[in-house]
Amino acid sequence: MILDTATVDGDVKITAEVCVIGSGAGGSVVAAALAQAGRSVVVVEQGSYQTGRDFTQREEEMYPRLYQGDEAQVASDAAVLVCQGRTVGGSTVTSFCVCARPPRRILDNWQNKLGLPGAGADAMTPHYQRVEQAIQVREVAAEQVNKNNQVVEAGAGRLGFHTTRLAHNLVNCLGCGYCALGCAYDRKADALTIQLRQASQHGAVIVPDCRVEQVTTAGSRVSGVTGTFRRAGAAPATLSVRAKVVVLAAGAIASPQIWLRSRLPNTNRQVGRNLHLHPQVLVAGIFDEEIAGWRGIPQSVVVDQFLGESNATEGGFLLSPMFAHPVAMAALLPGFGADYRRLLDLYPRIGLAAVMLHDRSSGSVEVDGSGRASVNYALGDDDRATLVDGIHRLADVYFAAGAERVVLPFNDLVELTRRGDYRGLEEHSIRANDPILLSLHPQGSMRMGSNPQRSVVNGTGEAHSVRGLFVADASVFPSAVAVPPQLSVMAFADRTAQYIEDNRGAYFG
Amino acid sequence: MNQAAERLLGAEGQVGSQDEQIDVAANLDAWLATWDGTAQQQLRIMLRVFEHGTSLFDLQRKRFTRLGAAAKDQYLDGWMRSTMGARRAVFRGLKALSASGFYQDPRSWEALSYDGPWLGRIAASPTLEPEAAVPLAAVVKHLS
Repeated sequence: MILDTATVDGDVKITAEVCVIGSGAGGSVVAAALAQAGRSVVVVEQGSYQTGRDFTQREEEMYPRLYQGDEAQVASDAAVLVCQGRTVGGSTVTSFCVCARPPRRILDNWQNKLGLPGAGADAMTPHYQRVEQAIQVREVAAEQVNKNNQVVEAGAGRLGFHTTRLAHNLVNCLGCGYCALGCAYDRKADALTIQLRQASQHGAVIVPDCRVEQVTTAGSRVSGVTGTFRRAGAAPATLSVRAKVVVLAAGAIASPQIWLRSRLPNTNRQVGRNLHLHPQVLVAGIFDEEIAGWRGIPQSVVVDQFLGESNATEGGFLLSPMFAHPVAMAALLPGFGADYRRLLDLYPRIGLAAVMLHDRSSGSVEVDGSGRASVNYALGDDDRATLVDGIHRLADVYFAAGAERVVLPFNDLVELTRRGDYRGLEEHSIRANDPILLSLHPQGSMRMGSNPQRSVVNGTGEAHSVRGLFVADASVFPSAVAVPPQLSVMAFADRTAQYIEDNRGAYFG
Repeated sequence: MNQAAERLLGAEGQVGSQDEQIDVAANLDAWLATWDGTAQQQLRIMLRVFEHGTSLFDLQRKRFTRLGAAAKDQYLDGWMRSTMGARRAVFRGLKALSASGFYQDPRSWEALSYDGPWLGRIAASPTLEPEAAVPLAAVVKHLS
């Protein structure tokens, strides 16, 4: 059941066996699995409860309602904009629905080099299969690949670059193209429409509009959660949940904040560190034919030729088409004034794609004495060089696909007009706020590991230092997973839920 | 805000409070009202620094809104290309706000050949009946 927070007129105290913080990819999977196993489950979500009928396909209405907007969504020097969902269902509601397993070498490295039994590709296969089945993952049909994706696929093909047709959690997609604003037609098999419904049907309680302030402990065990209701115009009220198990699943930016605000043990100073942002920049190709990239599935093809060397577990990049509606496109395209306007007026002929960096660089999430959070992140020299290489390759792809010119992602309007003549790129430095980096996939800020001195949680997701406290979001990844992490978050959350239930005697008595 | 938006978006004569114009500042007001107090304060500071930074950054005697079009563009160019990361961030922020205030208005879409949301235009419906939210009393009873 979902709490109607308009009926909250005072402080609320409730008790459950499990309290899950966050209702996105990780939290929803844990909640559904444990509720189906018969546990009493409460899910606390900072965002509000909205469904397909509330999604208006209007940018100015949906961005504030569906996305995080607090201070920690921009790196402290404003050089990276972090975009994460804040609604019941989390980022699964606003995602482009890409469901990709990471390269198996990454998972095998976690198991074999980092000492995480069961985290390897083979061992994780049943968990991936279970969540893929639950959210109905299937490859995008050829007829659903829109023109914006077709040109990248064609250009890469002409250059001999390897491409992969992506798989999605879409069911009978109508191709309206408004995935990032929530699906108004319920065609996403996301946390909102699948796992949270399952959880609710099995008795879980979902509490929206509530910001978790602290995780509480009794001795070395977790004891519950406190939060504050945040409905606009409502009288202040607090939530107190007593629980034997608490699952932190608020995402790689918010989960470490909650840990640090709660003053939970952090003697090894690992909480909030090792943050990977999987940063991306957007490059535009201008064509002499209509692309109309806002129509159809935004992201259905990826160029994965450059995802590191065959045995590398980090480095490299993906090239992946994506698109933006007018407000976001106008904010992203470079330059200003008349030249910028002429460029934007070519909107129907613009192809847009991202260079997604598999970052070696890492940053941190920190909380100061007053509880204010900050994100610190800067690209290292090797990642800057890789980013330039990625932009270079994407320009190659666009020219091979027939683009008239390629627009680079810098503040000022820099265009390439001929393949191979990339002086405009080579002469431009990569610096903070130029180009703007987007992060849709933050991860790794509370990594799992077998060594308690170098990690926050163990291989099951349980905190080394607090019994009964688990983390089930992208925070736990020991390294960046290189691909959109939604599916991996779900798979590892499934594994954590299974561990909790298999060991129910130890947690629930 | 309207004057900055006009220059940033290359929308001369299209931004303002006349009927045929798009009032970027007014469109932003509703959204900005949802920001928390700290964020609103930061925005006010940012706008004030931008408005009055002409003397500091461009050796101009007039503040931004009193400059001519060419001087405004020159001033904006200085923010865009600045060696100071914070100034580049302000430029990006102003441009993003301007874009939001202008391109949310359907009158701006025709120039882009953007046909707008499907809702109300193309017949399609949600497939799921939303789960109704329940009152607090029901939750408390359920968990007790």
